[in-house]
Amino acid sequence: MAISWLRRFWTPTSVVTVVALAAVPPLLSGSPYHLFLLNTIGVFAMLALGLQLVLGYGGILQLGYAGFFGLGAYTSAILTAHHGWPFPAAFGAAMAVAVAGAVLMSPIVRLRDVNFAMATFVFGLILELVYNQWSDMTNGPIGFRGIPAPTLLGVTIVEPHHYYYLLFAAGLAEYLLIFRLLHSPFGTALRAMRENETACRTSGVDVTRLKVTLLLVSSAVAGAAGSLLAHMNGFVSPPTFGWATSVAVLMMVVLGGVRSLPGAIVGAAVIRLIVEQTSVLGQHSNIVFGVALVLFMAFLPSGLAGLAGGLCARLPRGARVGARSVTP
Amino acid sequence: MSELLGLLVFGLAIGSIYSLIAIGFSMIYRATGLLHFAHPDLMMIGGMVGYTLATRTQVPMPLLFLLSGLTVAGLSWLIDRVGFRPMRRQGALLNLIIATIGWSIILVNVALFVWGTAPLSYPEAYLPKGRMIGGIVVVPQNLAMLGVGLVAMVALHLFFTRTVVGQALRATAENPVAAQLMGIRIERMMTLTFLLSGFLAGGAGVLVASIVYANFDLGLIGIKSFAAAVLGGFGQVGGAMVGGLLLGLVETLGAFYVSSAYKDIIAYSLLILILLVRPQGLLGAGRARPD
Repeated sequence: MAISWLRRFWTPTSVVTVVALAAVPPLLSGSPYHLFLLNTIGVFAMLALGLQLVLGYGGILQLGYAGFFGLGAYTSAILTAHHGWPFPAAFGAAMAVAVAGAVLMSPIVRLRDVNFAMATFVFGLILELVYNQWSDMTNGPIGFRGIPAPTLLGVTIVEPHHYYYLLFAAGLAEYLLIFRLLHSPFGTALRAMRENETACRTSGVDVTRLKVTLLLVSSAVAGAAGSLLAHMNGFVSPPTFGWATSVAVLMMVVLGGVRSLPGAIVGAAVIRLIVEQTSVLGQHSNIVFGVALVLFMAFLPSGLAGLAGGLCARLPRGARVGARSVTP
Repeated sequence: MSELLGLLVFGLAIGSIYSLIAIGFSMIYRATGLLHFAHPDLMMIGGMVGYTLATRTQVPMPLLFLLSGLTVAGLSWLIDRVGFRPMRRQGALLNLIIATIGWSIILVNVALFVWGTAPLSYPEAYLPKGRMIGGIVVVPQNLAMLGVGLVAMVALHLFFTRTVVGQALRATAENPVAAQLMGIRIERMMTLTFLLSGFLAGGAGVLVASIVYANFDLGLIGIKSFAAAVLGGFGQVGGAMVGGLLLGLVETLGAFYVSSAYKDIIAYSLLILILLVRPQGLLGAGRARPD
C-alpha cells in the first residue's frame, strides 16, 4: 500500500522528465542569464504547485498566496543576515512562520465561497502592507539587501547551476509530497469536497479540517519557495509578495491547467518566459496576461493540460476528459 | 472643534465615494454572485475619462459626472456582454471571478496605454478650494461630493423600493430562479445591474480623481470600497451606503488621531474580524446569502 503511490509516480514519462530536468544546467552552463531564468521558473513552479493543491484540487480561491511567499522570504532573510542562523535552520523557520501565518488565517475557513475569497484577498493586502510598513524588520519599500548565499553541509552554493539542484531537490520533494497527498484517503476526501461539499460533510468528512490542512500545506510550500528566492537573489522587496504576484501564480495554475501538477510547472515556465519578454517589449504588453486569463477562463478552463489531454483523447468532449484523467 | 468638523465633512465626502462604488459592487454580487475585481478599475477609467473631458471641454462638474458615468456604464455593459454573459451559462463561478481579475488587468493596461503612467491633475477650475466661512475652512467640493453621494443614494433607495423595475432587480438578486418564474427577464435585469453599477463607478471616479489625481492605479482606492461592501453586509444596498460612509469616517479620523502608517492594516484586520463575527454585515439583521 505504502509503495503504490510511488509506483504510480514512476511512469516512463516521469522518469524521462526528471532525468531531462536534472540534465538541463550542463547544457546551459555557458549562459548565466538563462540559468537565472530557469532558477526563477523553479521558484515559481514551487509556488504554482502549492496553489494548484488549494485552488485546483481543493477548489478554494486563495487570493493572498504571495503574502505567505513573503513570510518565508523575509523570515529566512532576517534570520540569516541579522542573526547569523545557518541556512537549513532558517529554511525550516521560514516554513514554520508561513505555517504560523496560515494558522492565524485559518478561522476564515468557516466562511463560504465569496467571503472566503474576500478574506484571503484582504489577508494578502495586510501582509503586503506589513512588509512595506515594518521598516525595522523588512527595511520597507527600499527592500532587504545582503542575504547570504546558503551553506549546506559546509558547501556554499553560489553558482546558479549549483543552486538549480537545490531548487530541483526542493521542487521534487514538494511534488512527491503533493502527489502522495492526492493519492491517499486525503485526496479522495478532497475530491468529494470539491464535487459536493454538503454531501461530503454529511458523509462524515471533516471538511473544515480538510481546508485547514490545505491552507497549512500550501503555505509551508510557499514559505520554502520564499526562502529559496531570498537566498538566490540576495535581495527581496515588498512588491514581489503582493497582489500582482498572487495573480501571476493564479495565472500559472489556470494556464497550465487546474488539477494538473505538471500543468502548474508548465504554467510557471510559460508565464515567467512571457514576463521576461514583456520587460523587453514594454509595459503595455502586460495586457497579454489579462486577455489570456479571460480567454482561458471562457474557452479553456482546464488549461494547457486540458488541451493536451483533449488532443490525446481526440474526443469531442476531450478537453474535459483530459483534465479529469490527471485527477487521482 | 472646527478641525473636527472639517474632518467629519471630509470623511463623509470620501465615504460617499466609497458608498457609490460599494453599492455597484454589492448589486453585482447580489444579482450574479460575482466578486467583481474589475469594478474598482472601472471607477479608475471613469476618473480618466473625466480628466480628458475636463481638459478638452471644460464642462461643469455635474455634467462631467454624468458623461463619465454614462461612458463607464457602456463599458461595464460591454464587459458583461462579451466577457461574463457567455460564461454565466457554463455556471462556473470560480472561473468567472478569475476572469474578472483578467478584466482588471486589461483595464489597467488600457489606461496605461491611453493616458500614460504619470498622475494627471484635473484643471484648476475642478480642484477643491478651501474657503474661510465664519472661522471654519469649508471646502465646497467636499460638501458637493457629500451632496452628490447622498442624492444618488436617496434616488437609488427610491428606485429600489418604489419602482417596478427596482423591485424586479431586487427580486432577481434575491432568487434568480423564482424571479424568472414570476416573469422577470433576469438577463435584462443583470444587464441593468451592470449599467447602473458602471454609471455609479464612473461618476465616483470623477469625484475621486478631481480631489486626488487621475492615474492607472486609482483602482487601489476603489478596492477599499470592497471593505465598505463587507461592512454593510454583502449585497445590501442600504448596508453598502452606510458601510461606505462609516469607512470614510473611520479612515479619516484614524489617520488624523492614530498613526497613518498602520491605519490600513488596522482597517483590514477589522474587516476580516467583521467577516468572521458578522458575515451579514454590521447592520444586517437577516441572514447572509446562503451560498
